[in-house]
Amino acid sequence: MSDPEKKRSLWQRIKGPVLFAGVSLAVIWGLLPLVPLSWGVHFGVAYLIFFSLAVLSAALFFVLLNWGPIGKPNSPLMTFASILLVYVATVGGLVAFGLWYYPQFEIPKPVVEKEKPEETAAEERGKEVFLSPTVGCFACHSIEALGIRGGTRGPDLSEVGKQAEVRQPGISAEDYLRESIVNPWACFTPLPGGELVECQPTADPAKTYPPLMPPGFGERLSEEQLNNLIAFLKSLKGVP
Amino acid sequence: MPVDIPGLGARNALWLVAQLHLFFAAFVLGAPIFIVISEYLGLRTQDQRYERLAQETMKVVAIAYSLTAIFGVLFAFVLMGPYQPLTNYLFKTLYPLWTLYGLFILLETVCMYLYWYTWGPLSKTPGRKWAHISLGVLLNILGTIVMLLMNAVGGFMNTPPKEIEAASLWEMVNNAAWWPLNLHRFLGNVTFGGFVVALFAAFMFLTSPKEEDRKFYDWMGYIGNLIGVGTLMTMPLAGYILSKELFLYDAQLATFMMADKLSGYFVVQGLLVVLLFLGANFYMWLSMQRIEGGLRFEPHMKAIFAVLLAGGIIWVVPQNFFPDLLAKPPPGVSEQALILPERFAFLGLMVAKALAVTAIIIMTFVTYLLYRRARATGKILWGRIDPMAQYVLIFIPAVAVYLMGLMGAIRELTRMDYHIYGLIKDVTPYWYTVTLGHSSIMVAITTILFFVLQAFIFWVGFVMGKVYE
Repeated sequence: MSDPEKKRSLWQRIKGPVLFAGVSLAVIWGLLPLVPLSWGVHFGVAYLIFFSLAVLSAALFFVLLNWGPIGKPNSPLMTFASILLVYVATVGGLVAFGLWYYPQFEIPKPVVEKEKPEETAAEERGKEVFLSPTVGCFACHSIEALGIRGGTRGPDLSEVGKQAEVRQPGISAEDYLRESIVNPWACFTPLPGGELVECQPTADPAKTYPPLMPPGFGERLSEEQLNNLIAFLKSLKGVP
Repeated sequence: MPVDIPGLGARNALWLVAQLHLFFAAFVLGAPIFIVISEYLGLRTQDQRYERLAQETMKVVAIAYSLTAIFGVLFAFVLMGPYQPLTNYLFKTLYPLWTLYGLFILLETVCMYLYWYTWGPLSKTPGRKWAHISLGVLLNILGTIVMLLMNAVGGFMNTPPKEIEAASLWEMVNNAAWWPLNLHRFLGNVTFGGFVVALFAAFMFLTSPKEEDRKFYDWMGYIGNLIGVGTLMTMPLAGYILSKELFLYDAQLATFMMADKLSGYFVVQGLLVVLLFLGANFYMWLSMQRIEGGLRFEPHMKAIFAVLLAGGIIWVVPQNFFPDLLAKPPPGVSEQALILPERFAFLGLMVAKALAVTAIIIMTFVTYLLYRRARATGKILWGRIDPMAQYVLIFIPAVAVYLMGLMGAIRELTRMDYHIYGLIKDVTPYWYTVTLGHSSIMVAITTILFFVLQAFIFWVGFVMGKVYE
C-alpha cells in the first residue's frame, strides 16, 4: 500500500469519531455557555469539562472500533511491555480521574504529639466530640493551634477559651461557651481583625459571622458530651 | 495507639496488605467454583479444552494460594501491632469464630493440595474422575465456609448488634450486613475469578508461539470473559441489597455514602462499571469478527455502543461537584455552577441512574444474542482473533481489580471514625475519612502490585515451564 493510500485509510478510520468530537466540543464550549440562565439548562464549567472528557473518550472508543486488526508484538519483551503498558495506562487514567479531576474534601491534619497541651480527661473526651463526624464541629471550625484543619465557615477556635472570658461581660467563659453551642444565634461572634471584642445581639455582615451555626446541638448532644466539649473549648488559649 | 509504621503510616500499611490478601483470596475462592464446573463439563462433553482450562487455572490457584497466605499473615501482623486494641477486642468477642476459621483454613488447604496433586491419578477412569470432581466440590464448600466466617467479622465491624451487651455470638455473626455481604462477595469472587482467567488467557495467547496454544487460549479468554460478564450483570443488584441493609441499619450511612464524603467514590464506581461493560461488549464484538460472516453485525454493534456510551454518561454524571455536604465552592465559582441545572436535575436522581444501568445491561445481553446468532450461521475460527481483543482482556481485569479495591474502601470507610461502627472509636491519628484522591492512589498501588504478582505466577508456572520442556 502506498503512503497516500495509508493516509486515506487512516483518515477513513478516524473521520467519523473526529467529526463527532469536533462538533460536540463546539456545541459544549460554543453554544452551551450562551444559553440564558433563565432557561434552566446552563451547565457550569465543571460539567462542560466532564462532557468534553466523555465526548473525547467516546470518540477514542469509536477510533478503536474502526481501527481493524493490530499486529502481535514480535518479542517476549515487547509482549510483556505492551501488556504492562495497557494495564498501567488503565490504572493511571483512573487515578487521574479520582485524584486530579474530582474535587477533594478537606481532611483534618493529624495532631503532632509534642505540640499537644496537657489535657484533662474531660478535655480529651471533649476533643473526641469535636472531631466526631456525627457531631461535625470540625466541618466548619479549625483549631490551627492544635493543627486541626477543619472548615473555615466558622471562626478558628484556637483561642476560644481566652476569648470566651470577654465575649459577654458578667458571663463566665463556661456559660458563654454553653450558650454559643446550645443557642448559637443568641449572640454573634465578631469577625477576626475587627475592633469588636464582645459578641453582638444581631448579625452584621461587616462585623460578625453570619447565623450559619445550626441550632439544635442542645438536643443532639448528651449533657456529658456537652460538658466535655465545653471543657475542651475552654482549654484552648492559643499556641501553647 | 501502641505503634505506628514510620513513613507509610499504619492505615496505609494495613490497606496494602489487607487489599492484596483480599485480591488473592477472591481469586482462590472464586476460580475453583468454575474450575470444578469446567472439569465436570470436560467429563460430560469429552471436550478436552474444558479439562485443560480447569487444570491450568487450578495451577494458577495453587501458586496464588501461597501468596494469599503470605499476605494474610502480614495482614495479621499489622493488625496485632498498630491496631492491637481492636484486634484484642475482635478476638475476645468472636473467639469461637476465629477457632473455626483456623480449623477450616487447615481443612481447605489440605483439600486444595489433594485436589491439585491427585488430578493426574484421579483422571484415569470416569469413576475416579467423579471422585476428583467431588473433591473439587468439597474444596468449594470449605472455601465458602471460610468466606462466610470472615464476612461475619467484616459485617460485624460495619453493623454490630445495637444492644451489644445483651447480644449472643450468633447475633453478632448474623449481623445486618452479613448475608448481603456473603451474596455480594460470592458473586464478586466469581466475576473476579473469571476476569483473572481471561487475563491469564490473554497473557498466554500473546506469549504463545504455537498456533494450537493460541487457539486454546483464545477460547479460554472467551470463557473467562463470559463468566466474568455473566456474574457482573448481577452485581448492581447485589450491591443494592448490601447498601439497603446498611441504610436500614442506620439512615445516617445513606447520607454519608450517597450525598456526603463517599459520594465522589460512587461517581468513580459508576465510571468503572461502565468501562467494564464497554470493555466486555467490545471484546464480544472482536470475538464476533473471528466468526465467518460476523462482520455483518457492524451497524448493530455501533448502535449498541452508542446506547452504552449514552447510558454510561448518564450513570456517571454527578448530581453536583461538591466533595462533601459542607464543602464550599472554590473562590470565584458560584454554587450553581457546581450543581446540575434545574431542567437536567433528574439526571442526578436514582431513577435516571437505574434506567441507564438497565439499558446497559440489556444492550450487553443483546450483544450476546448477536454473538449467538453469528455463531449459529458461521464457523468460529479460534486463534484468528484480532490481538487487540487480548489487550481488552487485560484492560477489563485492570478495571475489575481497581473496582473491587475501591468498593472495599467504600465499605470500610462507611464506618466513619469507628473501628466497629457505633461501638469502638478509631483513636489513631488515621481516624478520618480519606479523600477520593488518596484512595485512588492506594487502590492503584494495590492493583498494580496484584498484576505484577499475577504476571509472576503466570511466568513461573507456565512460561518458564515451557522453556524448560
